[in-house]
Amino acid sequence: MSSETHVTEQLAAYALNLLADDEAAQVAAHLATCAACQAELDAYQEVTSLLTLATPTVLPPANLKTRLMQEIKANDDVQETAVPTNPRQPINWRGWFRKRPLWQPALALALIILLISNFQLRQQLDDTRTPANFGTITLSSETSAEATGLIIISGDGEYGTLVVQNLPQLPETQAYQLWLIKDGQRTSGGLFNVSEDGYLARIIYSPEPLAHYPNFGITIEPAEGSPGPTGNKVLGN
Amino acid sequence: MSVDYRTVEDQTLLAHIINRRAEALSVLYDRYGRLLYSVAYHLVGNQQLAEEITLDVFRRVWDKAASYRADRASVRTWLTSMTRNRAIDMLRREGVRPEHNSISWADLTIEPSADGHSPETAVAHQMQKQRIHAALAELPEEQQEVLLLAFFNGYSHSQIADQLEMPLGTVKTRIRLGMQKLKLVLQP
Ligand SMILES: [Zn+2]
Repeated sequence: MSSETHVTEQLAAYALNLLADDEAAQVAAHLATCAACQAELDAYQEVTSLLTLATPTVLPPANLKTRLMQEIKANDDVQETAVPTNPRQPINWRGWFRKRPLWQPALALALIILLISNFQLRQQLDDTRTPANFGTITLSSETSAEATGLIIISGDGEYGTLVVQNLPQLPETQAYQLWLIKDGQRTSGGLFNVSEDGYLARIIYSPEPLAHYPNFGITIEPAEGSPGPTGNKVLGN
Repeated sequence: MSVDYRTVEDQTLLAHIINRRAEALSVLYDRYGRLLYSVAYHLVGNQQLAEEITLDVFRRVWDKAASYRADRASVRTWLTSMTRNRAIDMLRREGVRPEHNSISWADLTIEPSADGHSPETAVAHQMQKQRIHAALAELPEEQQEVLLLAFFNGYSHSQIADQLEMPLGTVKTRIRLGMQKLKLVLQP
């Protein structure tokens, strides 16, 4: 099915797994190319999930959790850690923490975990760089001296946290979209808006380990996002 | 570093799970194990299969937490979608025949379930449940009927049409209208 033909009418059924295999495959193919239909599907999936909250509760056997925890511990081989190879810009950490004393606790925690895992990795590598230089990328703006961003990549290179400050808050019809850039290809790293004071911190989940992407950009897009950047670039490295 | 995982948000738990913190998975299980097991159980109608599905989902979380997309779905939606997909897969492809256990909307509970959630979250869930019941009650009965078969029996469009001896087009329309209405009413 081409991207010109939206699959709006089938999305509710798709979210409920009602479609036959061939119909479902057509919808899935379209979704891969259409951010608008994907956003609509996300909304139907949220509704479906809400409905599950009304399911009559049946208690699982108490040993189910024990089985799970034993199994994952048995299989939890320590993975080889991938090391980000790009030289990272040094950054003035003190400025970030001083300006932002009131981190949302959960996000602050996520950041601390990243810093600790980065630090541990640095120790393993017997690296002489300071931890503040490791796995961090600063984003700046060509049009605003105040707008800044920071991406902190986890020690294993898998994921990271995005922090931005001094960006204007967008109306509901728009969103900031993060782009993960590699070999000229731009992959969406998610949509977000900033708080009233222009600030955001969130975890970035990426299809490939985050350290594989040498460049990042943030553009202004319609609220449902775009398959590729269309709006003005507000931050980049 | 000691972290009280019980107080962190779902998304942060996933970040810890990516970092192979088993205790974070344990807390996620405390929050959602009961819900996912119940969802699976009502679909496949069999305790042993429901256990397998629940384990499958948490195994997948352990291995694939990085594939969760925070911009697309809440953690709960991600988990319940995986559970429904896995259960319906068993029904359709592996020929599992549930000994139903037919549920009506009236059977649906609004009992509080504190589980592993904070009191604030438990209260929020309770309010959500009440909203869901109110929203369902507003639907015409013919839409409730088809949604019930879709939702708890995991039937396909054509299975619902067969069961209710109704034209396929009618089933599709009723499902679509019902879900549109629920989306409108339930969206924040
Ligand atoms: Zn579309």
